[in-house]
Amino acid sequence: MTQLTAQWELVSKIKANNELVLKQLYQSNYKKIEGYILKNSGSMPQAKDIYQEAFITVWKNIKEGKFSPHNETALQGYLYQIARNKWTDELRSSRFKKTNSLESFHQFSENGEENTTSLFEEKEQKIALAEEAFQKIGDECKQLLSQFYFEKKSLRDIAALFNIGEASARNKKYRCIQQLKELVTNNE
Amino acid sequence: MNKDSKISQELLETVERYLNNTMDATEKLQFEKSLKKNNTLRQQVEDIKILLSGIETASLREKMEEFHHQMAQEIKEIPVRNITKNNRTNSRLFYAVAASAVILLGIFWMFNPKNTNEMLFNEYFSVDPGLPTTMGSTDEFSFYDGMVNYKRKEYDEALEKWRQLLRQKNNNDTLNYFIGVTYLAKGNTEEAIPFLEKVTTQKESMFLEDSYFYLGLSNLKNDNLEDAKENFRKSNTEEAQKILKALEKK
Repeated sequence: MTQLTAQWELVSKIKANNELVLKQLYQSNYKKIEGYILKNSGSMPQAKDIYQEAFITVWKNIKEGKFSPHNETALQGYLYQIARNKWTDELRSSRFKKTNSLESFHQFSENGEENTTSLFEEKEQKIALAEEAFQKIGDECKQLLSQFYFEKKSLRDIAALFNIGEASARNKKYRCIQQLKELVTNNE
Repeated sequence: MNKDSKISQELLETVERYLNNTMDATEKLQFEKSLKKNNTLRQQVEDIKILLSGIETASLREKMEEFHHQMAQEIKEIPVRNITKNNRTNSRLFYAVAASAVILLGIFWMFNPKNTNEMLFNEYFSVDPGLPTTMGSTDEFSFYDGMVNYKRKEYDEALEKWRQLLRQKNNNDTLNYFIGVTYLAKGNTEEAIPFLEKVTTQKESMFLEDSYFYLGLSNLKNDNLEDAKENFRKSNTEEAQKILKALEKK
C-alpha cells in the first residue's frame, strides 16, 4: 500500500469515527500546533481550544467530502493549516487587535468558514444548540445516542451493553431523539 | 427547528438508512423524489441531520478530552530533571545513590528466579512472521488486511479487524492463533492465553504445535512453570524442545 492510499484509508476511518485513528491523529499532531501557538503569543489553554476547534473542522470537512488527500502527509498538513488559520483569526479578533499584527495569509480555504455564507453560520448555530441540548438529556440517553450515532455500534451490541432487548433499545433511541428535539426547539 | 412537525420513528429510521447509504436503489430514488416535492419532509430531514450532527460533535468533544488527558498523563510520567547550578552537588549525590540502587536492583534481578523466566521468554520469543498477504477470495480480504497491519506491527489495528471477523468465525483456528500471537506480541499474556488454548482444542490444526509453543511462552512469562513445561512438551517444534531443556536444567 502506498502512502497515498494509506491517507485515503485514514480518511475513510475518520468518516467512520474510528476511535483509534482519531486518537492517533489527535495526539500525534498536538505538540506541533501547541508549539506554534505558544510561539505566537498564545497560552496553553488557548492552544488546546484552538486545536480542538481545528480538529472538529477537519473531521467535519472530511465527513462532508470536502477534503481529499493529495500527498502522503496531506491530512496532517491540513490540520496544522486550519489550526494556524484559526489562531490568526483569534489574534485578529477584538481582544488582540490593538497589540498584535501577524502575517496572516490562509493557504487553505475552509470552505464556507472563510467566505461565511449566512446559511452556513445558521446551520453551525443550530448544531451548537443541538450539542448544548445533548449535554442536558439524561446520562442514559447520552450514552445510547453516542454509542449509536458516534461509535456506530449496532442496536444489538447496544442492547447487550444496556442489558435490554433489541426492540427496547430501538424504542429508547427514538425516545431519546424526541427528547433531544424537544429541548432544542424549546431553546430556540 | 419546527416545533409542530413531529418526527416519527419510521421517518427517523428512514433518514438513518438514507444517511448511512443502506437504502436499496428503488427506496433511495423514491425517497429523493419525495424530498424534492415535499417541503415539510425536507425540513424534517434537515432537523434530524442537525440533531445527529450535534450528537456526533458533542461525542467527539468528549473523546478529545479523553485523548488530551491521556496525552497529558503520558507526559507527566516522563521524569523531569531540572539541574541548576545551585543544586549540582545535590544532584551528583542523587545520581550516586541512584546508580548504586540500580546496581543493587540488577543483582537482585539476576538472582530472582522469576526473572530468569522473563529472560528465557525474551530469548525465545519472536513474533510469528505471519502469512503471505496474497489476496485469495474476497471474503478473506479483511483477514489479510489485518495481516498487513500485523506485519507492520500495528497490533491494535490488526486486532480490531480480526476480532470483528471472529464474531462470524468463532472457531476458526487461523484467526484464534493470530489474535493470540498478536496479544502476546503486545506483551498481554492474559488476553493471549484463551485464544491460543482454543487452537489447541483442534488437534488437526496446522497451528497446533505453534500454539502450544506460544502458550508455553505465555505461561513462562506468567511464571506458571509447570504449565509452561507441559505446553512445551506438547509442541514438537525445535524451539520448544530447546527451551524445555533449559527449563529442566534449573
